[in-house]
Amino acid sequence: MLPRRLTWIDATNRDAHSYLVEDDRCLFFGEYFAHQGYEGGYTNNLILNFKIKPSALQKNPARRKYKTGAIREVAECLRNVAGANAAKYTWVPVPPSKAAGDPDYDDRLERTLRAAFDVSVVDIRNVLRQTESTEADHLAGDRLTPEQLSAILDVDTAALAAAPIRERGVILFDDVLTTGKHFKCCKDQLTDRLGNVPVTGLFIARRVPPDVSIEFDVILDGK
Amino acid sequence: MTDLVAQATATADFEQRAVLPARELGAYEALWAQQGTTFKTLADVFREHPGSIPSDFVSESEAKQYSRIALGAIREAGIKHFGIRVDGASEYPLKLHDAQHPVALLYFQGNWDITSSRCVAIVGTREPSPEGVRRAAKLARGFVKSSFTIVSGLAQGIDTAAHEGAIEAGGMTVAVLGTPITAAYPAQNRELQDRIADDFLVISQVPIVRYSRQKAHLNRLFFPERNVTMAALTEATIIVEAGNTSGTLVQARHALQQGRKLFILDSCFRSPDLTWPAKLVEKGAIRVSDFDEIRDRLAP
Repeated sequence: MLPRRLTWIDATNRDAHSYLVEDDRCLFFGEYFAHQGYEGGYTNNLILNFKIKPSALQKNPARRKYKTGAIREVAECLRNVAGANAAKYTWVPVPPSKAAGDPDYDDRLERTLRAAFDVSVVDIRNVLRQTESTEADHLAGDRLTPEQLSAILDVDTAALAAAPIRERGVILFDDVLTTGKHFKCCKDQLTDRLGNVPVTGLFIARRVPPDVSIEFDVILDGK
Repeated sequence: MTDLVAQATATADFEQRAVLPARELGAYEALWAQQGTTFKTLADVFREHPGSIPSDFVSESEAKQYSRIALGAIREAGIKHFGIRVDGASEYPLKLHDAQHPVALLYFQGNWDITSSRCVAIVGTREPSPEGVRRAAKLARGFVKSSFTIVSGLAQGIDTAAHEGAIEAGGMTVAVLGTPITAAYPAQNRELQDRIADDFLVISQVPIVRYSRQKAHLNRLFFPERNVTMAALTEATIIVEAGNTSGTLVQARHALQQGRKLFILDSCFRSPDLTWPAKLVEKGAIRVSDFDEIRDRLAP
């Protein structure tokens, strides 16, 4: 099981996520160990199953149960950890890297949120989408610059304006925090339109590359 | 104490409950700075308040103060990267719950994913015979060939032979320290510790600030505590050689209590002065003569 308590990105672990700065608020459940695959422990297995591509399921339908199981498990953890407070946030899934119509279009994040919460009470808003497909490699990351990524991110302004954002702000939900680029671009798109509403990233796992450094200066020297 | 927990849990939402690593390690250090704190007293507090973490019992300002001292010491020690594990949050190894007094927080350096490999502990005396050193290294090689990780305590003697044997055989090794990550003991193992931190995994439950403030004879009490953690982290403990008063025997008792397998090398039984091998066999330890015999008794 994933833990019942989330962890913040702070100066001790931020270095692994090069696009994140001190102001960014990101939470995660577990850690994904790059290059370890299914050997990397519980969280690695959960993430790999969660991210099984639709085309892989087409080829091997027997794997569907692993993906469905992973979605159910993550949904349960979200429900446990958020409890009644889930209704105090507006939940926005980070958009799939494949545009609608692509054989690998995968709306697993939105499905997970819908499985986690009572949709009549909790505000789940699918307001972001990618207008073009990109290579979604959660290990390497895609090659786009933030500007290129922002250019293909589209905000459904009507859906965003359809109801007020809940009192505690937006939770941007994604599976793996890698460099933080997607989070930053999505956050920027939202804050451009919402102003000062807090936008917090919530990830199933953060990716841990082998060598990272601690930002001692942030804590000790007040930089 | 209780009031802080009540305050924290009554209205806390998941953002407030989330672990802030820098604050959490400060809270752990602050708890340890209080007089009378032991692993037992801490574990008792957490047993009484299930699901709580160190920062539930420490004020924000105190946690911050101790965080700065500990992080300062870590930077001073030249450590570039480390992490923590907090019971109840990201990647805390649940097998540690089998320990008598589970640790609320631990520090580590290196590749945490090694903890999901199959691990055995090879331990023993700081003053081994040349035969003992040879046996420890040979066992380490055997386990490495079978894709096991070798866990030991970075002490002189058998521990060092086990770590080095694993590395020389191209395998993985984990050092569970009886000192904080900021210190090395014995000093001549500093290089080995750095190597294990860089390429494999070093773990320590020992509070940095408390350790730096108290006398050496009190700090020695941390060594047997790490043996308990070592037993809990591994599926089996193997004693290569140990005297009647060796700290290794702490690990032996705890391994059995935790439901882990305990193997004792045959050679230990041949020394007429040693009373512990027979006693431990009565309690469930297994007498073995070589690697193959151990391997056969572990899950395939």
